[in-house]
Amino acid sequence: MTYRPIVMASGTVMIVALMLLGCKKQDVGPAASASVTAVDAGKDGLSYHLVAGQCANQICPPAIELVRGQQQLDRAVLLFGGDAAELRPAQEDATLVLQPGIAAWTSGSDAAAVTTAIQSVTLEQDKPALLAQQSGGFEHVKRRYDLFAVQNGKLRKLWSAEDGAGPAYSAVFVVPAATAGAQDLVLMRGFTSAEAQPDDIKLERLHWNSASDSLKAGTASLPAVTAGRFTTVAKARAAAADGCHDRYAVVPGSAVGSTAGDFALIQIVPDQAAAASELARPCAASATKSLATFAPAAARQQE
Amino acid sequence: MVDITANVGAKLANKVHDVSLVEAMLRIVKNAKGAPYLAADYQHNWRDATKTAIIAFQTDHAKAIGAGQKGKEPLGEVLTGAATIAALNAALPATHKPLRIIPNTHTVYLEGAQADATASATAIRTDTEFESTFKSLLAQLVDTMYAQHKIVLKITPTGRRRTFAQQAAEVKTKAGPGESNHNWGRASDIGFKGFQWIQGNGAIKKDADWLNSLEAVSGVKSTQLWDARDALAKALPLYNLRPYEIIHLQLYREKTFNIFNSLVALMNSVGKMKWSASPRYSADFGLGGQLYAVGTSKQIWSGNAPISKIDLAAALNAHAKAKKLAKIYKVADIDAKMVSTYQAALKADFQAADTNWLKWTKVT
Repeated sequence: MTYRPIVMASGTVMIVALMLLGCKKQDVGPAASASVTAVDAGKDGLSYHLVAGQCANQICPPAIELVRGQQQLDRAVLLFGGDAAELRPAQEDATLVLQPGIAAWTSGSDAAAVTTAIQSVTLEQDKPALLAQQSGGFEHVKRRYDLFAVQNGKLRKLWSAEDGAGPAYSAVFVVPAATAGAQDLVLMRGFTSAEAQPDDIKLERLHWNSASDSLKAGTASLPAVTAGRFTTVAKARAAAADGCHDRYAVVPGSAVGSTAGDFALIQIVPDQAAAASELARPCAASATKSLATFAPAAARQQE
Repeated sequence: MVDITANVGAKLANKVHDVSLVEAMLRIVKNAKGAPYLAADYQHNWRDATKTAIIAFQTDHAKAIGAGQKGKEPLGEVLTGAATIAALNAALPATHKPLRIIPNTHTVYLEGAQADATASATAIRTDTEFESTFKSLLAQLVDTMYAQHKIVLKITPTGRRRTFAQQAAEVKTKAGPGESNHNWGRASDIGFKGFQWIQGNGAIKKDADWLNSLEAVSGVKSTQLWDARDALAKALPLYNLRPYEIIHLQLYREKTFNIFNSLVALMNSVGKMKWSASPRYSADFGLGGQLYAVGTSKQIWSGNAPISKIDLAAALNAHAKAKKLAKIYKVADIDAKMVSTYQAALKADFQAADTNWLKWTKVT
């Protein structure tokens, strides 16, 4: 706000000074960038915005902006970036496992494209956080996850995770917490060995602990849709290659409640609604799908 | 015998790899009571516990080391080439020799076997499924990694050339048949299978191709080893695909060519149709006219290219007109058998590219 020297009565000067003070208090940062989508960030009119990033060396990672009104309060650049900054609605990207209603955005093109999605996570009452999910790479695909919250009017990164090296895969699900109205994250990490071994899948439940002001990790189990049980891993993998079950994993039958020493073809889902949707998805293959609970060894030991 | 590169002790150089090495040795070597000299897991920063462990070892081996005596190492310090490091080496059990650490890293490991490195390099040099320049560079990488760091690099079970059929079976990739550098014998996934590193408690851990166990302990530590490999690869040069994949190395830098246009260029050379990757993929059905969208690489390879009957009829009619043939095709004339015939023909060009993989050249 510019100041123009004006000759006037002292009362008027006082009013003008107060107005200037008021204007200056609201000048808290640059203008917010044009965003493709936004998510509520809690009280005081705050919101998280997903915006196109700036490019360096042909890498243009999107950014998360914390916005109030038209003002950018803070900005955090995500790690993966395409070869162009513009964000456009993503075509179906099977490499990111997104819950219903979560939109994804692609930046870059062809082999250099990166997909990004954001969603709200209510860690506790009046603490809406933001989960940003990204998938990048072409020959080898990698996913990563970043969780942000607001602290003292700034973005604070609470947690990050990404696929491990090798034939690894992962997904993050937002699920209801034990506390009514709150949500937890469940990180699913899988690894498909090239040898005749079942997938190694781990689940980790992340719950916000306000006393320690951090996420606490614990074991988890989730619903799973099974598409058959097999005596060997090889038979299960052959069944998965029918063009309808390529998102399914081969796990020890014990992980889904079997005592037969067999192997199961399963897809882990975040909730019963997702399970119902997957059960209803038509497959030309003959495998009969059914509902089970996936509990990795660590979770079973705790029972 | 492994030595430190600079002195370790209070206010001495204390390079991270030297402290790691000394601490690891003190964690492995046990005193007369069967307890490690270093009670905690080894790490890379000088600390009081390091000094305590050094002094305890030097005291127990006073005759050989003479620490604190005139002309000898001060108590609590380990000097390069001096008696303490020599005594530590001598005290290591046979299972933990020979030890090694790469400068500026934090992971102590056992040297790999020369025979294994030679076998790995030889397997690459004699592999007929690699392009010659690439395999020469890859074998050099194996040789150099062993020469400099005594680490054996090995190709993963699926890390060699992949046929189009093998590529189609890969599910954790966006690259369809013909869209991976692996299909052209110009890429490899080469990692650390069998690498034996010393865990914090002194136990030996044998790791997998991707250093999964080390990564689970510390992403920083595993990345340091990949950095060491990639520093040598860069000099050759071979190129990686970071940040998306850490094990992959290829002949060409990713941004210097277009994998889709390169596939199309090869098919236009060895196939029977005319192709384009814009849109990806389009072809003239071998009829010499306009190009039509025919689906993705995976769809074409599966024999289920989504051919539009309208497009096929138009292509046939254009061909008939060009040849001054009387036949006119209606969309209703395009039956399933005809579609299937052209789906097979589209796949046949992909198969021709697969067969002629050595002729592939990079195109922008």
